[in-house]
Amino acid sequence: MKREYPDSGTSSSGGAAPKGKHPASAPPSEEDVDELLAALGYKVRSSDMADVAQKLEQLEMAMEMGAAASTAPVSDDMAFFPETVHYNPSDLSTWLDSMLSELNTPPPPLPPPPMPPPPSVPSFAPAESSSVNFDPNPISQSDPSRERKRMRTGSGSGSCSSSSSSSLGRGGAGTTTIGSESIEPAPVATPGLPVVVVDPQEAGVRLVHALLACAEAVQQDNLKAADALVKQISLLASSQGGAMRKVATYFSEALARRIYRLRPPVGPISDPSTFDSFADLLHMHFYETCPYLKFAHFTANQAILEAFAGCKRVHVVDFGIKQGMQWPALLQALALRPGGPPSFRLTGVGPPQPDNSDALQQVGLKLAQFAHTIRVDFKYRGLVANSLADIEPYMLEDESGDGELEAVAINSVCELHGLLARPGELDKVYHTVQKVKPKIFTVVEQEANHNSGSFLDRFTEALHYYSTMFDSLEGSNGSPTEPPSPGQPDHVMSELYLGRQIFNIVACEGPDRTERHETLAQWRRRFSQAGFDPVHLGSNAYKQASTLLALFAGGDGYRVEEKDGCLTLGWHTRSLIATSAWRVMAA
Amino acid sequence: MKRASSSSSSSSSSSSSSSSKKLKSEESPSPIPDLTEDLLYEVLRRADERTLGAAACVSSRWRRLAQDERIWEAVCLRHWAALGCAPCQLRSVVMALGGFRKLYVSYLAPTVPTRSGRRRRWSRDELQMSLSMLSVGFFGMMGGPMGKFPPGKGI
Repeated sequence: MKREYPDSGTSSSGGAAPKGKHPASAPPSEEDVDELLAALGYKVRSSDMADVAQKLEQLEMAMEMGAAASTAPVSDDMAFFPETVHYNPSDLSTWLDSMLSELNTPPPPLPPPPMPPPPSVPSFAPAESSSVNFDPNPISQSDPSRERKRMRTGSGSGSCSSSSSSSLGRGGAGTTTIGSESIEPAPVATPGLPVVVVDPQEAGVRLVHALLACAEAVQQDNLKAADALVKQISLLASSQGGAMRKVATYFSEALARRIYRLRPPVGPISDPSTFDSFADLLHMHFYETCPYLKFAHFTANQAILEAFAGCKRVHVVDFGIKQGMQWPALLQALALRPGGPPSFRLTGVGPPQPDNSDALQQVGLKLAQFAHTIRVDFKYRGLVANSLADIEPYMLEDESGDGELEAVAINSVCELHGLLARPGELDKVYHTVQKVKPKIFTVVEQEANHNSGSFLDRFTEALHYYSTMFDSLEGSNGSPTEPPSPGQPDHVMSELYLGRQIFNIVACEGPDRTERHETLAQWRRRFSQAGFDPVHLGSNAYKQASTLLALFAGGDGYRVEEKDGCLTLGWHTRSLIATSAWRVMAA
Repeated sequence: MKRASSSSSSSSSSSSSSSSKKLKSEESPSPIPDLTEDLLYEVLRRADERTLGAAACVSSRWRRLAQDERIWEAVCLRHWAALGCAPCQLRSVVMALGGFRKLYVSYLAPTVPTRSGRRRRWSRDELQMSLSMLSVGFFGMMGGPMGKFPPGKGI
């Protein structure tokens, strides 16, 4: 879908994006073809390298000037060349000639390019220039500028790859000298043109390409190339800073685990559902440092509160109670209801403890104490279950059997996606919920598709998603109400929390791969098919979410959006978490 | 009956405070005017948040009075357009969860834009959000700083 290029007869090429193919598969028809570019599918004679570099610069200048003149979106590069038909994109030299001649302008004197911005936020999300626009779809469109970057890859990474990769480094010495040759002629055209070999933005793009190339190699079971690329990635990552570096580190670590088959079946690192005290801690820190979980809790609570209006006896079932952080706010809201609070019952579901401690009971005690403080009648039951599919309707029944029926709300925060790892479990849960007939079923899930069949698609999606997440962590200063005392540790914990998810998505397969996130649209389909109607989250929930962000003051990048009655919270233009509410379809 | 006396002695207290100012300028250590607790309370009850903050820095006695929950309850109620519940209901919940002063300082003050001179009224959502945050904060602090419950069973 992304690589729609006419495969014009060369066995090694196929598109603009680098593929990290094993060089042995590219038949070196000419002896003097540059080795590194050949590995990427391009045939450029070593002697032509300087010339090609210059032409690429001209092309980019022309396009940038054209972009400045017109108001076309920067990523829409191919709009410049509507008439061009490309026959052999791997032969860079002639291809560039055809592109430049179509432009029909004499090559302009190259003005000094704008200095790359300081490496404060070298990340994927903001599309600030034509070259750094990480977006799966326009990859094919922005290839001329990509090629320019890759040219620099050819010249620049010759030095760093020579030490690491055995397969790609055959011409290491050769490419280094050629690289220096290609750098020198270019500044001759304009004295003020500094050709920076390792420019943070450059390295950032290279890093992304290397990550994708490695993932593709893994998908094709090309473990030698993947191994080489992983080493290259860690080198490139060390030149970055901030969010980019952390994301790259986690993803390369995850790839390494996958390559070396270091997949512990149920390990504390790769299995985020393990409810041990360390996971507790990470979860708590993530809750404190960024607003996603708070958003989830408060919007779900608002929906539950509205559903419970007028009910005297209420029962909440929490599919993943963890530390019970969601419920104090709901209890308080119920306590302040005009007419007084209802009698409240909570059933908390949790996994069995590795150390046999009764965490569920402790959470219940704490909540009971809290409820006692604000004088709400409170009952608690803990349910230990390995999987939500083990829950039967009778376990959720009201044993006291008093006169009035209780109103039930079922709440699931990031618990449903794990059910997709084993077939039939989600349906079982839907069935159980239908039997219980809740007034409302609130669902919060990550807004991303990390469950597609193709590993590469999953990887790419996850890269984009977690980059945005890490960016938001970087950009936020934490809640003003609870400042982290030494600034860093809280972020480190939250990053590790996310890192565990990354490990699971990338390094695990089959039933171990529990982080099977799906988008809101996908969940909507599943719920409709299972016999549920959507319940629109009202404007109160939206206002609460907006107030939360205003209070949080941790960065202006957060956005609350309403989509067909569901609420999403995201960073800039990317939604990251979505709350929705459902009820059983009337028969 | 208290009120009548306070109106007459508030004028005398203002004159005594101006005289104490004069004393201060003569650089002799003068005691803070000896207002009774009731008077001080009545004065502070009408003060705004910044004044209360400043007053709390004067002496331990002033601090105790400036941090009185009734005063801060009045501060909060002044700002809320509509409560949606009975004041006594609100009071019992908020007092149990840490009090109005904590509510204001931790969860309401950050939302007040610093530049506006006019007192802006908070909406119900802001009130609810601040109460939710107060609850979460209280819950987190239950059982010691690590939030482990029962207390003493920390990591």
